[in-house]
Order: sequence, then structure tokens, then C-alpha cells
Amino acid sequence: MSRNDDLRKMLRASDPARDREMSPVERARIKAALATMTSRPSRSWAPLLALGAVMAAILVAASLWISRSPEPAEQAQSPVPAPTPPPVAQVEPSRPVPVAVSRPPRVRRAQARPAVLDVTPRTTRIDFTAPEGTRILWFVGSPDAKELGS
Amino acid sequence: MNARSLRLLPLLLAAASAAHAASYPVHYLEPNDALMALGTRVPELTQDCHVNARRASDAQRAGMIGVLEISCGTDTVQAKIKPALDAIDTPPPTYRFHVAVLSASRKDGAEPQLPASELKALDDFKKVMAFKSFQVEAETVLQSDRDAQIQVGANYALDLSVDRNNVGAEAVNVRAFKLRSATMQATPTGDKNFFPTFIETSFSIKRGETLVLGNSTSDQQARVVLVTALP
Repeated sequence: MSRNDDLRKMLRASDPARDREMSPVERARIKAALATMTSRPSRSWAPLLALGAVMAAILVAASLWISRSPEPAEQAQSPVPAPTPPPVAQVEPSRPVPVAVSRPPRVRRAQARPAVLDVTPRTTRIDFTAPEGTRILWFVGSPDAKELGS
Repeated sequence: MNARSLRLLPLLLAAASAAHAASYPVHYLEPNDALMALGTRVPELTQDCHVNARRASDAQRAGMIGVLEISCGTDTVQAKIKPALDAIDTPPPTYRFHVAVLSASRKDGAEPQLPASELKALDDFKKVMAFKSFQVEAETVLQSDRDAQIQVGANYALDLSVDRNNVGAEAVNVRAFKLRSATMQATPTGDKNFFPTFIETSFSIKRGETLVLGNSTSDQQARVVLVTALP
């Protein structure tokens, strides 16, 4: 910004028509030109971003290539490709089911628990004997008529 | 003559078997249980007799639980059955309980009017719990040989179930004791009506013993239930 300001000053100083009063159209043009000049610094990030994107793409491509590279190497090393089809046939059936099936029940159990807890009132029975032998059964946390029932 | 006697033979056999057949009403036991118990007392029953146990479809109207139909080869076995069945088929023991529902308070107050044994139990209870006064809300005497349901006062209902397998034991095994509200109430959300249960438990109690059950209804009050197994 400071360079642009200096440039403007220099342009004004060297302008032969500086004492001349400018028309509104000229003012508008100059404003537009200045506006385009101020937006340049933001444009300067674009190549960097593009470069970053390209680098990322290269990185992803390289990692994919590295991960895939052993398979062709094995294929290249194995002289006889005939025994390979059976292993492929064995792998395919074992792929899909267990993980997908095991997840939904977990979700259902998690949803069912609060309802069960709400329904069952929990009381603790304390069974003790008074000094002269009277047995007392005291129920702690039992639902009162005003609160809950079974 | 031979042909005639052969024709009469089934009738004679039927008459002979009818002479040794008899029906025995069972008043208290399950007919199959009565038959099983009878077999241990009269061993000939399993050897010489044909037996059939029938249960009455409406025991109350029939005046009996069922009937044992027994046909034996000899009258001597039949003669043993009746006294053996009379000894087995006896009315079950009945248990009587005095149940009192009290409102307990931490404030001083008058002593409730209760039998001496129950007041003693209440005094013992006061030594452990910090309640000073008691007021009888409702009380009843309940007699049952198995399951009973009774209303206690205007506000309470009691379900009580006695285990019949402990016949002759000194302690009575109460397998279910459920004190609940006699009036239906609505849930806080108002979408459902229900009978609130205050105490639901099981215990064994000796004849003559008073058991104290209870729960707090607020920080100052509690609901105390005295259960006495009457001798």
C-alpha cells in the first residue's frame, strides 16, 4: 500500500495537468484504476493457493501410487498367474456382512435404556433389628403417591 | 349251560368290578396330589386298582375340588382308601394378620391405640428411627390360607400371598406383600392413571411377632406399617 501511495504522489507531481480540474468521468476512471491496483495484493494469494492445491494433489497421487505399487510388483514377480483367481474368489464373499449388521443393534440398545430406567422404580430395602428384637424393613427411595407408582 | 354261562360272563364280570369301584370326593387337595399322597399310604393302590382323578370345573359350586374314581380287585383295599384320604385331605392352615398403617411424625404427639405387643414394637422402632408420634390411618385383620386381597381403610389396598409349602413351620413365609393406594391417580404428565404402590416386599414372620415396615413420605413424616402374625 505504501508503494502505491508513493506512486500516486509521483504521478500527481509529474502530471502536467495537475492544476486542471478533472471531469467526473476522469475521476471515476482514476478511482476504478486505483481500485484495481489495491485489489492486486489479494490476487497475489491465488498462485500460492493454486500451488498448494497442486502440491496436495501430487502428494495424494504419490501416496496412492505407493499404496498400489506392491500389487503390480507381486504380479510382476509371480511368473505363473494361474493360482491367483481362487484367492480373489475367496475374498469377495467375506467382505460385507458382519460390520454392517453389528452396528444397528448397538444404536437400538442405547435408545432403549432411558425408557427402561424411567419405568422401573428402584427401592432399596434395609432390613435391620431394633435393640429389643423388633425387625424393621425400611424402604429407601420408594415412590410416593405424589411422585410415581408402579 | 356252557353257552349260557359264556353269555353271562361279561355281565358277571361287570357286576363284580362294580362292586369294588367307588368315588371319593376331594375337598381341599388337588385331585392328582391326593392320588399321589394316597399311593404312599395305600401301596396296593398302584397294584390292584384302576384310578382316575377328575377335577371339578367349578369347585365352589360343586362343593369339592374333584373326585377320585378307584376300582379295585378286593374290598379290603377299598376299605383302606377312605380313612387314608380323610387323613390327607384336610383343610389348609389359615393365617391371620393384623395390619395397621400409621402416619409417623417427628413432632411430639399422642400415642396410638394399639395392642400391647404392637406398642412395644413401636417403642423399639422409636429407639432406632427419629419419629416421635404415630397416628393410625387404617387397620384390618386379614385371614388367608393362600392369596388375599383386602381394602385397608379408605385409602389403602393390600395384596398378601402366603406360601403354603411351609405347613407346620413356626414362621409364616409371606411371599408377596403389596400395599398400594385404593384410589387411582394420574401421572405427573396426566396421560396415564395408575394405583401407586407404597410397599412391595416379601418376608417371613413368626406367629405372634410384629414386623415394622415403612418408608419416608417427607423429611418430617413417614408411612409405617405394623404387620402382626396372630397366633
